[in-house]
Amino acid sequence: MLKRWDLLVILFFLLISGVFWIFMRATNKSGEYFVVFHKGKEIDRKALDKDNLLKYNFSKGNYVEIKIENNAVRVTRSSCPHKFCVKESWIKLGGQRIICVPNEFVLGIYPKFVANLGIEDSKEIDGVSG
Amino acid sequence: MDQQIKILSLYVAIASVFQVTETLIIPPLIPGFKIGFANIVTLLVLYKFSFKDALIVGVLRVFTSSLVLGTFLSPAFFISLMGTLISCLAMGSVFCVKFFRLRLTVVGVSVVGGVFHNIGQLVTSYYFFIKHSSIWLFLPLLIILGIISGIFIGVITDGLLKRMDSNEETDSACI
Repeated sequence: MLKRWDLLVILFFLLISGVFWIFMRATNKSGEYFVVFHKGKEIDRKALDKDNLLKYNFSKGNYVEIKIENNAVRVTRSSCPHKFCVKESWIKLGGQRIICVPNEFVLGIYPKFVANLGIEDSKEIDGVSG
Repeated sequence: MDQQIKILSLYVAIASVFQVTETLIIPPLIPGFKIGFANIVTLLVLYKFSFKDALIVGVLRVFTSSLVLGTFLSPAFFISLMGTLISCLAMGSVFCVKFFRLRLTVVGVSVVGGVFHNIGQLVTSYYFFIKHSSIWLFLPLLIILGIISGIFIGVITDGLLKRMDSNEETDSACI
C-alpha cells in the first residue's frame, strides 16, 4: 500500500519541519533585558546581567516580586490566588513572557533594543484576536 | 451531468456530516487538532471524479458545515476555507502531474493535502488575524501533525477505494 515515493514525501516534509525547528532554535538568542508592563503600560526596563530582587506594588496591597539571577528572571512571590506566574519558573530567551492576569502584570524578555513597547501602539505585542 | 450534480451534492452532505460530527462529538486528542475525516470525501472525489469536482466539494463542504456550526464568516470559517482551498489545490496539482501520479498512492497525496491544509491555515491566520511572527513556531509541529493525519486519512481512503465498485473506470480526469 505504501510505496517508496510515499515514504519519500513523508520524509521530505519531516525534513522541512526539522530544518524549521533547528532554524528557530538557532535564531532564538538569550535575551538582553526584560520589560515589565502593568495595565498595558511599560513601568520598568532593566538589563538581565545584574542579579537583583525587585518588588512592584500595585493598588489594594497587590504586589509582584521578581528575581534576576544568571541572565534569567522569575516571579518569586505574588498576591494572585493561583500563583501561575510563580509556577512559570525561570525564563531567559527572547520572546518569553510571564503573565499574571489578576495583577495585570506582564514580564517580557527582549533580545535587542525595542524603543516603544506600549500595548496600544505596538502590533508586536497585542496578538490576541477573536 | 444532472446525475453527476446529484452525486456530488450527496458527497457534500456526507463531508458536512463528517466535519460537524467531528467538531461537536469527538474530543480532540491534542487541543485544536482534528484528524479531518471530511478530507476522506475530498480525496474520494479527486480519485473518482476530477480535480475540479474535488475543489467544489471541498469548498461547499466548508460553507454548509459552517452554517450548521454557526461559524459562518467568522475567523474560524476563513481559516478553514483557505486551508481547504490550499490543500485541495496541492492535492490536485500532485495528482495531475504525471510524474507524481504514477509514483504516489492515496497515502502520499493525502499527506501532501494534510500538510498543506495546516500550512494554509497558518498563513491565513498570520496574514489576516494574528499578525505576530511567533505563530511560525507552530509550523514544525503542524507539519508533523499534518503528516500523521494525512497517513490516517490516506489509509482509510485507500480501503474505501478498494471496496467501492470498480465497474466504472477509476481513472479520473484531471480538470
